[in-house]
This record gives sequence, C-alpha cells and structure tokens, in this order.
Amino acid sequence: MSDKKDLTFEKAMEELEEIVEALEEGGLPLEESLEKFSRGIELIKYCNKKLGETEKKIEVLIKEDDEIKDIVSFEDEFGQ
Amino acid sequence: MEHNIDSIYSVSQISSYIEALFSTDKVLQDLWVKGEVSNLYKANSGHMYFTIKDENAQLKTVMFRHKSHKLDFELEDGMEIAVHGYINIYKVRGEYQLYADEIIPEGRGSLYEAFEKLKKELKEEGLFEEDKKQKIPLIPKKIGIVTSPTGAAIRDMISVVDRRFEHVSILIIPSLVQGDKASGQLVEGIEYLNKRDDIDLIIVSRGGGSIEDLWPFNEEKVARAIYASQIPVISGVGHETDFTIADFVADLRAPTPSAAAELAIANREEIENQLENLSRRLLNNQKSRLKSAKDRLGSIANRRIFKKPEEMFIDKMQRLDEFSRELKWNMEKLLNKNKERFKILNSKMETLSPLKTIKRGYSITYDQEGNPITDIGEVQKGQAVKTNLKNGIFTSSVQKIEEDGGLDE
Repeated sequence: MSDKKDLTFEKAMEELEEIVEALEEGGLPLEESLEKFSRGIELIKYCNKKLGETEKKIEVLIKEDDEIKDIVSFEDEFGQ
Repeated sequence: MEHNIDSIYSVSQISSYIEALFSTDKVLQDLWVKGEVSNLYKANSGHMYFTIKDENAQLKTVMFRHKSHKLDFELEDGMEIAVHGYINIYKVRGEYQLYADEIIPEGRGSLYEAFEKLKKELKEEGLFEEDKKQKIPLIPKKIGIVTSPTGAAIRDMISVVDRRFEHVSILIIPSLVQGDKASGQLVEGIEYLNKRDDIDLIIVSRGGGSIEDLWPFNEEKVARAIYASQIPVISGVGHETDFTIADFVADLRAPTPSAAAELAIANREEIENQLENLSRRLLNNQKSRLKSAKDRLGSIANRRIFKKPEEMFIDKMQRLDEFSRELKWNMEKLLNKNKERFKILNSKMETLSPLKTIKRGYSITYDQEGNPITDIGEVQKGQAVKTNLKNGIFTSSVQKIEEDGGLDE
C-alpha cells in the first residue's frame, strides 16, 4: 500500500489501539491527551475510509497459448 | 503327571490373558504390513474383511466403517497394499487379526516417501518457520486465487464471498490443479500475481481428491513459489485431513477451499467491530476526561482566593500593621528602660565618687606611683606618701606602722 507516511490499515489500527489504551490508563497531561485524541480521530477516519473504498468484482484471467489475453468477469465467462 | 485343579484356566481367561499380552506389545500395537489383498468381503455395515498374504503366510484383517469410508480408492482382491494398524486377538474365533486404520495401495508408498523426504528437506531449510510467515492483511482489497476455474473449489469460495462480504475483489488465475502440468501453472499463477500491484492476498486451492490428485501441491517448485511470494499466501487444498507441502509453507493453512475464503475475509466483521469499539472508547474517554478537567477547574475557581482575592492582602496588611506597632512599642520600652538605668547609674556614680567622699571631709592617700593606698601592708616605714584633701595635697613620710587599730575589727 502506498499511502502517505506509509500508513497502512494494520498500522493505523495498532496505533489507534495504543492511543486508546494510553488514554484509558490516564495520567497524561491534558494537552497531550488532547493531541492523542485528535490523532485517534484522524486514524478512525482513515480506517473507515479504507474499509469503505474496496469494491466487489470477481474477474478471471484469460490465457491463450500461455499468453495473457484478457481479464473478464468470471460470471460472464464461467457462470451458468 | 499331577495336575493342580486351581491352575486350570477357562478359555475366556486365557484368551483375555493373550489379549493383554498383545495389547502391551509395542510392535503389534503400531505397525505397517504389506501384501496382497484376498478374500475381500465388504459388509453392508461398511466394515471390510480381507486377508493380506505373501507366498508363505496370510493375515486376517478387518477395517471398520469409520476408517474404511475415508479410503479414496476402491479396494479390490489382488491389489498390493500396505496396511497400518494393530494386531490383537478375536476371542470369538480364537484368531488373531490386524485391525486396519489406513491402507495405501502399492505405488503410493513412493509418493509418501517423496512427500516425507521433501517435507523434511524444506523444514530443515527453514521454509516452514513461523517467523517467515507473512501476516494476512486485515482487509484485503483484491484477492488473487490460483485454482481451476471450473472446479468445485472456486464455486465454494465465491459463495462464501457472496454470502459474507461485499467489499472484496477477486481475480481468478486459472490453473490445472492435477496432473503433470499443474505445478508449473500454479507457479506461474503465483508469480503473475506477484507482478501485479493490486493484489493483497493469494489463495492457492483445489478441492478434495486422492493423494495423486493433490500431488501438484506437494511439489517442490510450488512450495518454493509460495515461499518466494511477496504477497501472503493462504492454502486451501482438499479436505481437512489432507496435508500438503503447500500447506506447510503457506502463510496460513486453511483446511478446505471455502475455509480459505472465510479466513481471507472473516477478519472484516471483527475489524469493523473492533474499530467501532475503539472509537467509542476514545470518545468516552475524552468526554470523561474533559468533564473531570472542567469539574476540577470549576472547583478551583470556586475557591475563596479567586472569589475574594483582596482577602489575601487584607490579612497581610493587618499583620504588617501589627508588626510595626509592636516594633515601635518595643523600641520605646527599650529606650525608657535604658533611660531609667542611666539615671540610677548616674546617681550611683555620684554617691560612689571619691571626690564626693573627699568633699565630705575625708582624704585619700596615694603611693609615689599615684595608686591609692587601701591596705596597711602596702606601706613601709619611711616611705613618702601623698595625701589628697578637698582643698589641697601634701606629701609626708611614714613614721610608724600599726597593723592593729584599723577599722577592720
């Protein structure tokens, strides 16, 4: 995945978890906890975006004489 | 010949004794026997009874239904086989027999050997190690599936995806999944998917079959292609009981094709719940954090010092006044006390002054050095002394010294 700052969904979830745990543990100065909170919101937005941006498509690669010829809908090619 | 009647056993007793002997023997309890099948009888119950024999001996064998129905080939008289199981006695007939749990037709033995050999080699090389396994992405966007486009496996997988999940794309790379050409096509498929930049996850899969059918998934080049894949690979080959080399080297082994599809996307729901849970916790935490900060601020702002800040200074000012008053008073007291003392000292000085005594008509006598003579021991006969009167001084010499007759007693 080539996202800004190399953020991946997995990393974002991990960081979010750390933030929530740190906040729940308490003891952070208010200012720092506000910073963490807004970072957390950012990560949630990012994750929701990632979860939403996939689409459903089932395709199949068509080869002829070992050459890749086309990619077509699986149902069109093999569906009954 | 004498017989002790107590040492005669019943047939059941001695049979049980023999049974116990057999069942504690390590060789008899876990062995492979090879030979030719004869007198095969497949009962309606599903149990199979047959004899395995070689030129010189035969061995009665039984395979019960729960084992025999797992055989992926038809057992026939005359087949050369290897049988695994244990030997014990069948007391009803007074016969010993082999209780079979696995049968391998001749020829397969070499496949098993090849399987074990490759498995051992690749294991030693480190291809199966857990720390070499890649993590399966939490939310794959596009999954590449290398399998037969016409088999049951791909149908199963698609129906899982249809049922569970609408946010994933699938690209199927058609490949033969049995026969000599299959392994080459599987490798090509894996390599092709690695060249694309939109694939998050690969599944290599086929449905159930005999060990010969599954064989391409036991070939070294397939194992190496899976190992070399930069994209995580899930294997879903055959049934739950089938283990292939591909399963060992894959990043995740699924027991069946549909399980592979489940594993690839099952995370999604869990992830969504987890994200929701984290969001809620984050918001709740922040809410309560802000509330407690606000409460605290409120209680601080309510304190007297913020409500009537002048009180703090009033106190201090009052105290300051008190101090200065005290200081003044103390100074005066000290001064007065000293004044009084001076007066007393002054009058004392006046009364004690020798001049005053002289004025009253007394005199003081000094020696030649000018020290007043106050003790008779300080004078000698003939010594010159000076006497000070109120209106003059005269010098005389000592004529006579009398120690007695002074004022002291």
